[in-house]
Amino acid sequence: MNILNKNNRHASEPYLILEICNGNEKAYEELYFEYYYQLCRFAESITKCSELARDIVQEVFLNIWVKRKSWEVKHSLKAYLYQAVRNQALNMVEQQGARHGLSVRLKEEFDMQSKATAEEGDDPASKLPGLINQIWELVEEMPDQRKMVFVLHRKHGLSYLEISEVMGIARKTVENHMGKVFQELREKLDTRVYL
Amino acid sequence: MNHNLLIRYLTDESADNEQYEVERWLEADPEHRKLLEELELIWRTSGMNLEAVENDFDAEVDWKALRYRIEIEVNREKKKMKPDKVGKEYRQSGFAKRADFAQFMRVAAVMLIAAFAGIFAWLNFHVVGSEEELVMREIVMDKGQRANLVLSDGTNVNLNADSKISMPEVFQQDKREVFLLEGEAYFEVAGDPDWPFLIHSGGAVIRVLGTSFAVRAYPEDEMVRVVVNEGTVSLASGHDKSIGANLTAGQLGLFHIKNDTVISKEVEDMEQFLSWIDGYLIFKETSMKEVALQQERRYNVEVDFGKPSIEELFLTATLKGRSVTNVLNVIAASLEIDYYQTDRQTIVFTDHDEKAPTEFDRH
Repeated sequence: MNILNKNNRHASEPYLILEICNGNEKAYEELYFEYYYQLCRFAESITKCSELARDIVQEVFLNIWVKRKSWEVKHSLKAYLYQAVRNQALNMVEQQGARHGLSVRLKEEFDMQSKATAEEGDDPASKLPGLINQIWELVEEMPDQRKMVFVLHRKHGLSYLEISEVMGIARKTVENHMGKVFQELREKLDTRVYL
Repeated sequence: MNHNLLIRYLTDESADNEQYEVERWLEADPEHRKLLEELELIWRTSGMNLEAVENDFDAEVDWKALRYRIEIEVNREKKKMKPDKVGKEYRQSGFAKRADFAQFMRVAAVMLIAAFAGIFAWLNFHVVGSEEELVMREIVMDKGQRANLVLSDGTNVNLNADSKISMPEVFQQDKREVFLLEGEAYFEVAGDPDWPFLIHSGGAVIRVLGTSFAVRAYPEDEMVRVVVNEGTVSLASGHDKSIGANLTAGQLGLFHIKNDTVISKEVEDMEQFLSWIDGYLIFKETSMKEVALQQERRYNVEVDFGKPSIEELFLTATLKGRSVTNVLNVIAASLEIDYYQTDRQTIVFTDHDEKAPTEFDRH
């Protein structure tokens, strides 16, 4: 079940989906572990909160299993999952205020260390860390849609078509966004230093 | 040359004839190729991964939580169906293992507590002890984590990094009992004279009626330390209640685990013992050895000393930064020392004159 084709997709994806529809737990488990981390990271990029990100991924997978009999994936499984996570994230971010009143509330503090260190850059052998950070700092400032297109493409390896599916926009729009990102990055970065 | 086309070429999204067009354009002028190289650098670099390790995400833990939730959903569906249908569905669902269900529930509850808020909050609704015995719940803080809990009686507990606390799901009728297995916690106990609050920690028993105080019992301390902010607290040995002391506001009590003794003393400045609650680290003539230890807990890093003499230095400083870098800079400036990071998690304090090893990155 682990044959990857040129686009890094499982050749056996249709098989996986079919099995899950039929209630094959092993297939479901495989799907979960295959996509867990990337979906969590993607969810976190929207919510800025890792706990919420995990909840979101949880909900998405729960729904898949509960509604497995009628589960349908039109084109790309990856696009389906990312779209589901995105929708769930946008919903949950709205709902965040409404939490049950419970006798024990747990409020956790983030490990700021990992975020602080990521800003420093830690590849001693090359100058690229500086560039990586600059790129993402600039991307962070960009409008939401444009940022998401770039993140989905570069960080999550989605194709233009998949991105258009996930975000519900035209493929041409995806292209335009990508174009604008590169344009801005090229203008604002001093790439010549690194070449 | 259409900018978007060029990008498409770069990202492998262009059609064959488009590729040909781009390649022809590239050959036309060396400047064109330069442009592509710049874009290619950006593209390549943006795909590189400098993200921190996935500390926040644990697939195994979440998978177990998911299975548990699915179980709940399956049971919920069960209840809506008629008995004969139920049997069939239940047997078909592989997730249902009747014999282990109760056990799984308890194990799941314990594991999940340390996981994340959403599921935890939800779980609290459902894991109600239907059994007679006391169901204990354990909450664990790793290095770099802190948390605030509000207990069912209204008591507020602030847990510091590297701590583990255990308590029953539901308090008993005659007493409220918790077990600070290791670490540090600040309690604001809801007052109730008929319902004593007991904390077991490191072999000592701390008994409270209603008050606020901090208990510290890290294994390496060899002592249980109680600092009282408000009210009265009694600190006693776990197996001999006559060995103990009553501590009032502004007092500090120490239970020496091996010697089985309790001493108490007045404390001028509470702040240094309680600053961690707000995320500060306050040091007053504290040895760098202790400073390093606290930093390791607070930020989940490893701290080493390039020169052993530095360990003997004393630090007086108030560290408010959430960023490790800020904190390190303050310490370095205060003591006129220097530091460098060898990797993501390790910090080494050293002298000004000493040069950091060249193969490492210098900050």
